[in-house]
Amino acid sequence: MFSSSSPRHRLKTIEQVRARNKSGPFNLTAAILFVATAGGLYTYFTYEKERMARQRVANQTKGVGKPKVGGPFDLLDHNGNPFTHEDMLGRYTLVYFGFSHCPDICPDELDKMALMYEKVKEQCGVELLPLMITCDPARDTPEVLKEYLAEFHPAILGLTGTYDNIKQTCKEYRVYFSTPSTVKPGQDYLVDHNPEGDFVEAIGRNFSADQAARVIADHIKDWEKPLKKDRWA
Amino acid sequence: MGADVKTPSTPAKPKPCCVCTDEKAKRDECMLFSNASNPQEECADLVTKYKLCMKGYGFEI
Repeated sequence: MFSSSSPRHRLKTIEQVRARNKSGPFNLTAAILFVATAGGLYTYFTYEKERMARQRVANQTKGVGKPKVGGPFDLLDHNGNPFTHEDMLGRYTLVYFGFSHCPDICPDELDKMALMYEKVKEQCGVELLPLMITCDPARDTPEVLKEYLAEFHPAILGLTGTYDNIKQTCKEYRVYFSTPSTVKPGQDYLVDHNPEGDFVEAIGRNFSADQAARVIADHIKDWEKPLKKDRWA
Repeated sequence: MGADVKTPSTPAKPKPCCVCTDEKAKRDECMLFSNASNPQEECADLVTKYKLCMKGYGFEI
């Protein structure tokens, strides 16, 4: 009778048998399986919980906090022609707040803007309207802006205006504005608008031109209504 | 964000663009998501913090 059992059993000492009877079905394999399952479930639920939290935050900021960015303005372009918010309708507009005396940030960002313009044109066949609104109206006259922007891209249109109009525009666009006597670098936001004049996305300095172009291209692809093809139509 | 934030490692002569970036980012974020009619007022705290930080580097703004 004993000869029919496996060799394993025959080798067992009485202590081993006792130990096995004591611990019942709990052996090493079962323990590992148990711990692994518990760990797996824990990780999964923690991940899910975090994901739900993220989603909740995203929905919150979407529903309630659609930023109140943008609004009517009445400025002058760098050719001296009037330019208002109505001139942006029907076009995706990139709005950048900067100033020509800006030593470090603005030139980089304007270069990026020029790149974005080219990339979006290439990817979507859509010409953006790139605007730079000055935060330094006292020094940035239309002539100054024209000369300054010529170094970057011919499509970029500079906007200036009276101190009060610029201040109002900055306020509407949620751009920090300090008095012209203490102009400082740092108005470094690109603001992206959809053709109905709604604010779409803020593109900060942390975006590269590539990333920004992709974001804009995605928005443009989501847009189903017709876009104006040429600028002044 | 992250890596390039807070790089006052050039004590010689920091540029105004490149210091207090964390404070500035917070201020700008506050402004952007503010629903108040005057965001600059609502974010006055963060504006002050940024100004104080800049003052520490000798930038009077």
